[in-house]
Amino acid sequence: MKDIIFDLKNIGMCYRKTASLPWKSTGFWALHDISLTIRFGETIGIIGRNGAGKTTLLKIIAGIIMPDTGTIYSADITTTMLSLGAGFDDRLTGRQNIFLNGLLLGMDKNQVSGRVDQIIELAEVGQFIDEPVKNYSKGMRARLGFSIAHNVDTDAILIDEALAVGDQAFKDKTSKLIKEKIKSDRTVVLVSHNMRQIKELCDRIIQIENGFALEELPVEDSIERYLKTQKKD
Amino acid sequence: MIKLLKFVNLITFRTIAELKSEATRTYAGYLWWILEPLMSLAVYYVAFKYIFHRGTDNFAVFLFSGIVIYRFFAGTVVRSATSIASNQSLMQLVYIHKSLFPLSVVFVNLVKFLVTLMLVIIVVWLSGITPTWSYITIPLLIFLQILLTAGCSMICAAITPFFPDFLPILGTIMHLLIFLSGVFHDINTLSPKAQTIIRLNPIAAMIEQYRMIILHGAWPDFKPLVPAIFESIILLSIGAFLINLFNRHFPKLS
Repeated sequence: MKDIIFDLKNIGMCYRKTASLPWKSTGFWALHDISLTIRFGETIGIIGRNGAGKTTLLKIIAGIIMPDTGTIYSADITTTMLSLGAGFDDRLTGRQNIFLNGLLLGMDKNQVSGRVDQIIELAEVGQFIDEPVKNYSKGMRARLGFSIAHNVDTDAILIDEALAVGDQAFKDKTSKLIKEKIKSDRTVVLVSHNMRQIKELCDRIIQIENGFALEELPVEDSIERYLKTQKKD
Repeated sequence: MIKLLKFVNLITFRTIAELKSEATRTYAGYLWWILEPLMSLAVYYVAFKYIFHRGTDNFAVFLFSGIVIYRFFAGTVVRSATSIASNQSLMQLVYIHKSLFPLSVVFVNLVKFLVTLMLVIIVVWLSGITPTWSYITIPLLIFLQILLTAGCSMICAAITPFFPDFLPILGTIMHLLIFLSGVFHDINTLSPKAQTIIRLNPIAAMIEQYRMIILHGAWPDFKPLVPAIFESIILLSIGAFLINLFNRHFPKLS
């Protein structure tokens, strides 16, 4: 058995709904009693309907939010949520944003400097790199965001339904790169609605419905169950 | 250790990036660093000199020094108050220690403050006051002011996400505070009792000592700064404690 990287025990997560007055606000439990152990090198798919709590679970694993109940252990590793174009400053140039974003994602300055050319090449933004990001098209922003995130060295990657960005050519390129990354010795947690992708990439599947984790089944059975519940509605 | 170094790097880079980004937002860009305090000087100067017929010799430099020092504090605290709340989308995607947001506001405004403080000193020279060796104590005052400003900034940044109504209240507090900080009048002209009370306001005590150095060429008196030192350390501890406590709770509040 490989080392445990994340160990979640009885995680519960409660959001406060805003109301007209503070004391009228009520809690909403987005996750109930979720336990999950992730070992080094595993690729885990998280599936479930919209609003089931998948993204919340991902944020808890990433250490972005603290669960209200339960405990979470994570090994001393770097975790990156593969998010596209987070924290871009519209008025700064693409190059300046590469540095800002790289540092935010946990790279150090020298690492970023060493990879700037690689990132620019992958993003295919060409001459625009020294123009303010506000002049970029949506596709260009997404490509730049992906390229930065792709160049961060990290032990665990969390991906939230963002495998496809930009035009078809770039989509093909990115999904190939992501697949390579997933198949390498990294730990990956992947939230997706694309069952073909999940089946191809994941070792284990966790299905979440209404904040509860369903019993864990082998990959094929799990996908079948998910498709069945989808049809019922 | 590496984490701390990375955090310092991140603050430094964000500060530089924010300064650049802010400058591109307007046509006058960096010029606004100087124009803005000069404009507020003009307003208060006209009001006090010509409408209320108040003001002493060298009133312009007296007023200017007070305004610049006060603005660093008040401007930073007010902007920090929204810093965590307005970075909600970013903190949903990557874990960052939330003190980054108020602290980068502090450093952005510190850079601007240093530039305007230079301007104040130049204006003071032009008005015929000569520099003295006491200038070497200015960095100590600046350091103390950073502690105080960072503390208040972190406290306000931590309150707003929970209680957005705090913003207009903060605005009113800052409005009141400018009158209690000796920006417009010399504290020494007040009754002894009022002097003691007003010097409990750390900003008032600091402005007084800045003026001692810059306008009178004298060495600062550190005794009136003792309450300010304690208050700064306490506020900084409270601020750091609050941000740390809610560090992973803020992203839930969107």
